[in-house]
Amino acid sequence: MLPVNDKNTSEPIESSGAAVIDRVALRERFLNRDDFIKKIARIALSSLDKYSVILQQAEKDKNIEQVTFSTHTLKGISGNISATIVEDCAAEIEALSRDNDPLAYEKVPYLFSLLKQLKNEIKEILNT
Amino acid sequence: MSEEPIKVFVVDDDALSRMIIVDEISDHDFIITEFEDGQQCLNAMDQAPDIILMDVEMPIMNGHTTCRTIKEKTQETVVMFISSHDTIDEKLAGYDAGGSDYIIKPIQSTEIKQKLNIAIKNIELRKNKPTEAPSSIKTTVVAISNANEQDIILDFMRRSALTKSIQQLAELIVEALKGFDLLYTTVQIRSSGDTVSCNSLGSASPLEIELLDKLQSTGQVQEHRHRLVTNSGGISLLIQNMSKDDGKRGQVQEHLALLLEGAEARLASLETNKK
Repeated sequence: MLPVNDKNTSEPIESSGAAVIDRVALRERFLNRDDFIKKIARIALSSLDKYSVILQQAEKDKNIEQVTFSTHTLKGISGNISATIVEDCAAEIEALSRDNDPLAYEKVPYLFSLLKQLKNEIKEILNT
Repeated sequence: MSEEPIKVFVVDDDALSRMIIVDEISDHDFIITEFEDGQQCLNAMDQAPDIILMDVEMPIMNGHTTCRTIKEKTQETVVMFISSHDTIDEKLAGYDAGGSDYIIKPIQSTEIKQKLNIAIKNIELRKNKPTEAPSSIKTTVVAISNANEQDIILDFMRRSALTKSIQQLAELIVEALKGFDLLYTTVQIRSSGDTVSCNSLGSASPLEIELLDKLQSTGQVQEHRHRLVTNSGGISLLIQNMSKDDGKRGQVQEHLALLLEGAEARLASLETNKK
């Protein structure tokens, strides 16, 4: 189970700090093609920004359908960049929101903290 | 291989997914076009793509609705769904929409290549298929499709005795069911190590085969809206267009039971002959 924000607010809950991208798996998946991995990283970063904004708005509006849609896409992006922890977190929120469970909203802040870390790690990849 | 390159549409709202899919299939000599949603894809259908790799969940128009709309106009295009949901219900929904195969996200290189190769092989077979002279076994069944339903069953019994292989038997079942207005049926026959699957158009799609494999152990008859799955011994049927009328549906199910009984008897006899 994922951490839940006790205060039930949008304040971010800090993630554990451990790396969220499995770089070995990422390089293995794309056959060590570093240029291609950078291309993927660039697109992933921009897509994560786009769908984070949609999720933020959905959480604010309590729009469960948009929570489902944005977490579904964020799950896909994280999976493609070998960030399984983020993928699993997005998948759990997606499943909750499909069941119309309000707990979905409470888990969003933790996803945001993971996404923040994921974006930082992607930037590191781009700078290497 | 035919001379014209295969045309592939990649439809996914996520740019990253599209990029990875295109990268995975770029070693083939395809003409690839990308779209962000189902509506964009529909707008470009005049380009007559051979294969569409389509995400299920997309804004504006999702993959299932897009596929349904495409299939109303053409059966020539192979639609392969790409989704992160690996459940039997999701796959049945994809089948109901007209999909031929399912690829699970995140995409695995070997899987997508393998599935594309199967699709290409089927497309080539279809394109190069000579106009088939009707076989004597099949023709009679079609010819009496306007006869009464008991006659269809009797004729099936008679013709099934002439079948020499489980492939012929499977094809005969498909043809006989057309007499009950079941115009699109998939049949799978499993016989001592051999499995044969075919549908009303010829070879069964990988998705149909996967569904029949998975559903063979889940009960004798399963109905969901207009779809019926029936398992009887080594024979399974996946029927897409059952009547909405309860009375007619019940009648068809009774005929199916009789027909399957006859088919099973022939299958047993074919197995004995084989030994």
